[in-house]
Amino acid sequence: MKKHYCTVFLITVMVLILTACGGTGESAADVSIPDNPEDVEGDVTVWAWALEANYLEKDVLPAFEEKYPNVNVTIEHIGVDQVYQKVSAGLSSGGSGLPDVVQVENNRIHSFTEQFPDAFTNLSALGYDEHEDKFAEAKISGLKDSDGNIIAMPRDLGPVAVLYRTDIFEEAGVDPVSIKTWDDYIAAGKKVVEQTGKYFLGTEGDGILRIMMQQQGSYYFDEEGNLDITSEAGEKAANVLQQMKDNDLITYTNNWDGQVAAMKNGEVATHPGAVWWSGTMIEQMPELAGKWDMFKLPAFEEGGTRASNDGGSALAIPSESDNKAAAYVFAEFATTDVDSQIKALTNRGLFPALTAAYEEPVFSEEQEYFNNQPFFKKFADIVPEIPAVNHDGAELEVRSVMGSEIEAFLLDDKPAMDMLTDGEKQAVQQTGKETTE
Amino acid sequence: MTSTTKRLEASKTKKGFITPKTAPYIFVFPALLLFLTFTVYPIIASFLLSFQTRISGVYSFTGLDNYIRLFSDPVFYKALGNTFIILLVQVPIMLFLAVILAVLLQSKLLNIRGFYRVSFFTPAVTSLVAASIIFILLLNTDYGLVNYILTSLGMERVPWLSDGIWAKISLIMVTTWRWTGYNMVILLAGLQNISNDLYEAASIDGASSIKKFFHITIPQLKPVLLFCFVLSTIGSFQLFDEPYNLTGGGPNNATLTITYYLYNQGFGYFDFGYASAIAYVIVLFIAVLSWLQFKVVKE
Repeated sequence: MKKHYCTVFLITVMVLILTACGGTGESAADVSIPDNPEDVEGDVTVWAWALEANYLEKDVLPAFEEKYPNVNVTIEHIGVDQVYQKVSAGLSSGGSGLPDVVQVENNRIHSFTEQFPDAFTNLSALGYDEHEDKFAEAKISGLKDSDGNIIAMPRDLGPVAVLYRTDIFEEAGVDPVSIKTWDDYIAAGKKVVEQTGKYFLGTEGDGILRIMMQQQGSYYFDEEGNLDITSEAGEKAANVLQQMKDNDLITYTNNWDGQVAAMKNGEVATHPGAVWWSGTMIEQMPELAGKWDMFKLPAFEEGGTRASNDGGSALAIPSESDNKAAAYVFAEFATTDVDSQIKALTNRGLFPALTAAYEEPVFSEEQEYFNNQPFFKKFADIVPEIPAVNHDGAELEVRSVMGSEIEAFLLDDKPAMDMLTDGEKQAVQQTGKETTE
Repeated sequence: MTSTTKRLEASKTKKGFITPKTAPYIFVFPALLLFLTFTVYPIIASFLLSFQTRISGVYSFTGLDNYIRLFSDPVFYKALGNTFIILLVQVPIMLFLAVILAVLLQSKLLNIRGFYRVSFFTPAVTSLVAASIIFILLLNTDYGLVNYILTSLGMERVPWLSDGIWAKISLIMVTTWRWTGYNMVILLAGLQNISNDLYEAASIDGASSIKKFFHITIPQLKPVLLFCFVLSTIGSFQLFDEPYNLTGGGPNNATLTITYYLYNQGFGYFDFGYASAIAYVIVLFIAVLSWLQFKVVKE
């Protein structure tokens, strides 16, 4: 019997230890933001990665500290996977150890809020609604919870266009202005492949499919969050992809490095991709300066939408933060200060979601690397056209499923339509979601 | 026990909590607490978790849903298939190599044996992240050293990491590179336990070295070999770092292992319930396979 007492005792101790973990933060209702910047004080810890972390530390912090001298901000550079793992671990354990501000990608927001409905502070309650009109609609609509409250502040955006090699186009005698629809694009591709022996484009995942679907105002999910992969938009996209493959226009580039190598080696003539590719191109293929330019995404039918989005992140304040006022003013400053947004673009290639920044002269400047064109202005012009779509909480799972399907389509000759139907079937299986209809 | 000693003990317990009887428990308590918190608790919690699904932030029991989902999940079967292919191809090759190396390194004809032993064992203690970067560079289709050598010899480039079959082969090569030395060391220890008398007796009877190898070394090594087999089986079922770093499980899930799939579900999609169910199926597989191996060797 004594043994049993011992066990019971130990289990009680354990339960006590485990339940003692986890704390409570201040609720949004208790927080008021002082009008005088000098009245805001406190320590703010920020988790961000790569370019965004550099941006916050080097471009934002000096200006911010001048305005808010009593707020002490620490930027922690953490890898993207680590940020998500640490945030999910923190949320699972009741919010302990989380920072005051965290970078989250648009497509990840909902996977957090679905699992942890109260993960992030309601920013509308803190007054962020006043900034709502300043951002691209497609961006901010994805950062609201089901009640329409803003839960993360928009930072960068990834408007998509077709990046192309001017020299290869010239060699093949193709005029990019003539490419208005995907049919035109394929016709131009045939010409390029025939004349130059290069591929027309490369892909390493389902990005191209998502871009094409979003372009048509559709996505893997409908507005209710049902799976909608085999939609009309999906079929149209698959049809275009199938034609690209049948005409040997498209090559499988394996992974990010493969994609970069294909572009650098001149293996591909175009790359339908987001504006943030410019940073990688300038950095990793400086020898191609002046040889790249862009044209708008081809439409599915004459006069159709020629804009889409890929990527972009936001800043959220975990509900467990004990210093919401200071966290709020920092994130607000980092997302709404026009000068900082310009620095993000010129210093880091991060394209701001704040549309007021597009009016700045630097946006219209001609970029030597990009064929002396007002490259960023051209992308800014696309932004209002980007259709808003639903990035559901199951986005990552479905993307991984569709990424494999694209690989099967390109490597194992699976028909593009089967890719959609199989992908949807598997996505249902993986996510337990319903399909549209 | 006499009544006086009993009384003595009773008077001792009254003096304090620490008595000869309770002392062992008290000494063991910290270790036990750690063991319970970090080993027993997670085992039980993840077992319970495997019957739960999180619906809008709250875990609720959904019975066998996760297991039912698992058994109709084509990606799970693919991951399981990949794991078995790697197990069936890689483990025999690796153990064969390990035995050969161990016997060679045991041989007195070889100089600087210590150097070789260390060299072969080094991969097992190398950080795989660092090693993977080297392998990614070596195996790169466009500018990797391996393909450079192949093309210099007039052969075709091999899509080492971007083709399903070649990616599996690459994975098997890297795993073999990493773990052969580890098994070799275990087998070396086993070899050193084989009595020299047996070999001497065999020499007197006029047995050749090959005969000695098959009739003395291998049978004597059987328990050690079994140990290596079981360890390698468990290792194969837990194969994660290599595909994670080298291929990311691709292309088209060709190198997705079962542990990698578990990781994706848990830490990629935060579906901890489903991930726990996968973990328990892995446990089951390892248990059954280990039992089978013992059975086979006994008979």
